[in-house]
Amino acid sequence: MEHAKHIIRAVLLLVLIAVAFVVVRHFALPETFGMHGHYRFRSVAEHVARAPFHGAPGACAECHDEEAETWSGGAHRSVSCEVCHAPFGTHVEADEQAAPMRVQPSYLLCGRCHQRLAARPKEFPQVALSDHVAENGEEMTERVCLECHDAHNPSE
Amino acid sequence: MPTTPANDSDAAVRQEVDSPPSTRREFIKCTASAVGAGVVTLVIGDLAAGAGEAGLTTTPSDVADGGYDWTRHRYVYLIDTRKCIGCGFCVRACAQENDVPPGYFRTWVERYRVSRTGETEVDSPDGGKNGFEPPVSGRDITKGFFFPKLCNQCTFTPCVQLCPVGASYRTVDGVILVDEKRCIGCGYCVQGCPYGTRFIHPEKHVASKCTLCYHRITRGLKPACVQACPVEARMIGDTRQVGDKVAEIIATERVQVLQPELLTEPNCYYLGLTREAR
Repeated sequence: MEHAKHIIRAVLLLVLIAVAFVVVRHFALPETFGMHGHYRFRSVAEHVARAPFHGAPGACAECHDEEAETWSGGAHRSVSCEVCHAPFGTHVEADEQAAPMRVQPSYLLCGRCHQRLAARPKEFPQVALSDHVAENGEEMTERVCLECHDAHNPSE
Repeated sequence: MPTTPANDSDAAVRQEVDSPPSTRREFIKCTASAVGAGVVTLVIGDLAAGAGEAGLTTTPSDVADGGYDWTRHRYVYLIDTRKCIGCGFCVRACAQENDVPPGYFRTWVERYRVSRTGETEVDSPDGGKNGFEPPVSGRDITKGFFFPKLCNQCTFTPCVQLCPVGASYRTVDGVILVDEKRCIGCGYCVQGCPYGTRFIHPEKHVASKCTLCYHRITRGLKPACVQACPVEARMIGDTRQVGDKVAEIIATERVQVLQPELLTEPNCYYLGLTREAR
């Protein structure tokens, strides 16, 4: 046991290092870190807490029931209102109208889906816009599509 | 037994002070026990906090809407490339919902045009956010399709493994998220993602990526891109829900994932994947 004190010192040193590790770890780790894995669990709650900007389905129909009815009977019923207009959050805040809803009557908007493109599925209704307008004897103006089609129910 | 000079001087000091309790030995004892008690308190405190919360299976109730239980959901994403018309409304909806800075994308749409000889052109002007224009080149295109991309929500994620500070993680319901308060913006995950779905936010200087609109799906809403899709090319499903339509398609149809050879096991499935798309 001549060298016992060396062993004791080594053990003491290890204990000290362990203590230092625990103390530093306690103050270095943020709250809720490691509760479910190697991350800060509170972060999940922060993600959940964000408010949606696009509305729930049917949110628009609560006020605009006439438009909703026209829309629900036509070929555009699979197109969410916010696609052609704007997100719910730009229009409504705390159940009150915050700003007027955007209306986009331009053929450019229609063309995003219905301009003929080689990559589009063949069965999807699409036209070469300028040809289609010329065939029907119309002038190429901004609102040209709306001359014949109702945007809410375009099938005639 | 020989005594060392140090021991001699210790003895001298002890005699000089002559107040019984304050020997060095006792001082060390006192200090050690005080520090020990402090450490034990810290450890017990940490363990107790851990044990108290480990039983928690839901997100903290003070923020979760209607007591969302993440053990009862497992999200999967399905893209039917045969239906996509390349309108780009998903890209725009994503940018508006998540405040994605211009020029950066959490999701985007690529257009593939393949000629008979196999030459492939891919373009994605502004991520497809403003739709696609008819091509000017008169090349003979025999196969064309649009291809939406987003975070594949991998089961075995390179990005989470790479994060040195635990800022990227996978939730119990299968979504990869970034803790913006913890991220140091080193960009390892951006380089590590084989699908190129991450970027460093130009103002916040932290990693940013698709969250599957975690704030929406936990409220029972669909992600902004899914809700914006006019042709149901984008779908979200939940394999833990009985009779889920998307889970059924994945279980019964011939779905594929991007780069399966990487063994990341994506939870974003594709219908109509073809060899040109990668």
